[in-house]
Formats: sequence, structure tokens, C-alpha cells
Amino acid sequence: MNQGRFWKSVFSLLGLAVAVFFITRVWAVFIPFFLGFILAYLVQPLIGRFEAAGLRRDRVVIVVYLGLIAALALLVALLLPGFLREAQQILAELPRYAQSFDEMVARLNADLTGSLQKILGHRAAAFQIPFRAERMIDAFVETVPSNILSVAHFALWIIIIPFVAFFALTQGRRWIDAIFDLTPAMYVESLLGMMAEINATLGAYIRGQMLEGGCVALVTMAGLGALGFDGAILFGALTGLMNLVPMMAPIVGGGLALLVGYFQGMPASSLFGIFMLFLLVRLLDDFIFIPFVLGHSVRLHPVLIVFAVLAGFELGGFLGLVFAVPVAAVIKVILSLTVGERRFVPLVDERHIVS
Amino acid sequence: MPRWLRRIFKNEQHSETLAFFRNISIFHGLSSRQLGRVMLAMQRRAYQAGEKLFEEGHAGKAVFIIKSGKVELSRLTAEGSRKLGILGPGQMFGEMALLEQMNRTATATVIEDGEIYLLYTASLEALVRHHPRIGVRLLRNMAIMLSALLRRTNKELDRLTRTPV
Repeated sequence: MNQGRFWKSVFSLLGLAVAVFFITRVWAVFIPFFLGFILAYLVQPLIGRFEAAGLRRDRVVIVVYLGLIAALALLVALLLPGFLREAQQILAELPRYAQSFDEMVARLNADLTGSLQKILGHRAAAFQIPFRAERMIDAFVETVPSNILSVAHFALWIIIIPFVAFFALTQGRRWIDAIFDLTPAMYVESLLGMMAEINATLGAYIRGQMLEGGCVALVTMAGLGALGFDGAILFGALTGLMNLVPMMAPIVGGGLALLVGYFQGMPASSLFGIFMLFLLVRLLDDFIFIPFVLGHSVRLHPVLIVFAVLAGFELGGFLGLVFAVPVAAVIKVILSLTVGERRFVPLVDERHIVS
Repeated sequence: MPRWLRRIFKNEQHSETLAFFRNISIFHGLSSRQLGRVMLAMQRRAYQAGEKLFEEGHAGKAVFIIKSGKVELSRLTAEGSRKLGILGPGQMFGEMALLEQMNRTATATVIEDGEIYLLYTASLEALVRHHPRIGVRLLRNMAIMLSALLRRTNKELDRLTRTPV
């Protein structure tokens, strides 16, 4: 390696270290940029199809962007009115739900205290469930101003994410070429390997997750709608979103739907129907959506997945939960390619070939 | 697509690169669109004379195709480094890595500045999985190339055994 390139590589590594340090200090700022790259990554195969046919990448990106905006507008026009109506309904009903819930807890506390008083006397009062839904709603209302601010923050993300994705799609190849040009020649093969392996693992995982989440959302929407649940679109979308986090969709989506169904005054048979629906969605997900849509793109041990999810939540809240598994998969690929670097043996022993 | 629309969207550079890859034996018989897909799976890098692409004994994971410049292949022997040959534009090396991941049997050093394309095993496997027609054609071409190599080696061996000492 000549001296110029050596110093270039040293400065690049130093720059990378500074960038990593900076990112860890203000990582929240980078979230929309990160999501923009993920959006670009998702759209990339579609752009690649046109690029392979000899079309100009920059112009194809503009056309695809216009197409995606039109599709998104159509989807919003179709789903948003129902979504907003359901959200308004649930918000209007929220105080009543909270009151019913508090009454239920009060009844439970009375029964519990009555039963325990015979054994524990006045100490039985200590075993009351200290939960009041109305207090939680009051606390939520107090935080509304800051919530509005975070909505404004989110609106800014809606502009930043497609903006970043646009530049990543039009200039991404050039950026990757620059990274390879700066990498010392002897490590180019390893870097290419790492990128190809990560791409093979992540590409299938992210695209599969989106499709799988969509399937789960649609089945849940249809099922809840058929059961006469008020808020089928909202809860279907929520379940699809929750599906991004392993084991979360049936617990949060199903649990909330059952609770809201109970407060909506649904009969026991319909509540059982909701329970069975979420069980069915789980089974469909495990035996149809995951094997056919997701495949075995991420080969991680279940214990490792649980650990990754918990660690992700600790580090990055909800986004940490969503990205825990893919990040763990990337770390596994990097470790297997670096620490687990092995010497290869021939697939067929030459002595066994007769010619 | 109408001609005026094609003129707006056509990538001129793509046609040039396509023409270059069409002459590489591993890509014979691929349609323009199929070749376009293979090109997307490859990575280009500019090299300078003196840079080592890989060393003998290291794990091989990619195939190299020279676009421009020259590369020297050498092997270490008891007497020192032995030159195996010099490769130039349009030539490919390291293809054994695509078939089975083996340790490199030679060292490759750039002796003239140029550009080289790399195709990694996992990218080839992804191509085979998602586009079986491309995969079958590439693997068939590789089998033909290896067969030709074996024929040449047999001839060479035959010539050596017939030569009186």
C-alpha cells in the first residue's frame, strides 16, 4: 500500500471513530437519518430492476418516488378516515373505559380485602391493587403540551426521512464506491464479504418483516371487523406495527383488544372470538407468514432474540425493540466473519475423483 | 417504451459496461437484462500499482475481473516467489472461490494502475437463489471454463510425460 493511501485509511478510521463517538452522544438526532437509509434500502430492489435494464438511476428514483407518493396518498385516503373515526371514538370513550376499569379494580379490591381480613386483620388493606386508570389519563393529559411537541418532531421526520432516502438512493452507489476506494486493498475482499453477508441477512429480514407485519395487520383488521369490534382498523394497524417486535403483537395487540372489547360491552362469545382470532393470527404467523415470507433469514437462538429485545428496549425504547433483532443479526454476521474466520477444506477430496 | 422516453431514461455508461462484460467468458449467453443484474451484484474498485489483492493461503471469497490495468499472480516456492503470469483487461481470476471456499493458491499484486470488479460468493448465491436462469448460465459457463482448463492441463501433462529427459 502506498503512503498516500495509508494516511487516507488512517484518517478515515479516525473520522469513523469520531463519528461513532458523536453518534452515541446525540443518537436521537440520527434516528430519522437512519430510518431514511432503511427506506432507501427497502426501495433499492425496485430501483435495481430498472437500473439492470439500463435506465438512469437518478431519473428512475424520481419516477419511483412519485409512484410511491401516489400509492401512499391512495392508502391514506382509503384508511385515514376510518382510522381517525375509530381513534376519535376510542378517545371519547376513554373516560368511560377508565371509570369501568376503576370500578372493576375497586370491586376486586373489596373482595380481596374481605377474604384476607379474616387472616391478616387490618393489614389486609396493604394488599390492595394500587391502580387507578383515571389517574393515568390525568397524568397523560398533563403531558399533552410535550406530546404535541413530539408530534411536531415527528412531522419533521416525515420530511427528513424521504429526503435522506432520496439522496441515499441516487448517490448510494457512489458512497459505497468511496468506502471501498478508501479501504486498504487487502481488506477489500473481507469488507465486500461482510457487506454481502449483512445484505443477504438484513435484506430478507427487513423486507420480510414489512410484508409479514402487513399480512398480520390485514388478517387482524378483517377478523376484528367481522367480530363487530369498534376500532378494527386502528387495532389491526397497531398489531401489525407491534409485530415488528418479537412476541409483542399477541400480548399488546390481543390484550388491548380484549380489554377495549370488554369495555365496549361485547358479549363473552365475542371476547372469546377476539381471543381465538389472536391465537389464529399467531398460528398463521408462525406456520405460514414467517416460513413463506420471512424464511430463515435471521438464524438466531431464541434466547439470544429475547436478550437482544430486552437490551434493545433498555438502549433505545420502542425503536430499540424494533431494531434489536436485525442489529443482533448484523453483529452475529460480523463476529462470524471476523472472529470465526476459518481455513477452508476442499468440498471433494481429489483422491476420490477418477478421470 | 417510446424512443423519446428511452432517450430520457437511457444510461449511456451502462451500455459501455455491458459491452465490456459481454466479452468475459463466465457471462457468455446472458441477456442484457440478466447481465445488468449481475453487474449490480458486483463491486468496482480503483487499484494502484503495488497493492496486493490477496495473498496465498488466505481464504478466498470473491472472483476478480480486470477492467483496466495489470495484475501479477505469483506463488511462494522453496526458491522464493515464482511468477505464474500477468493478467490484463477482460481477464478473470480467483473463480475457484465461487465454487468452493478455498484458500488462495497464489498471491495477486497490481502492477499497473486500473479498475477491478469483484463478485462475492454470497452475492452469486443470492443471484442463483433469486434468478435461477442467471445462476444456471453462470455455473454452466464456469463448468465449461474448468473443463477447458482441465483439457489444457491434461495436454500439458501429456506433453511433459512424452518429453525425453
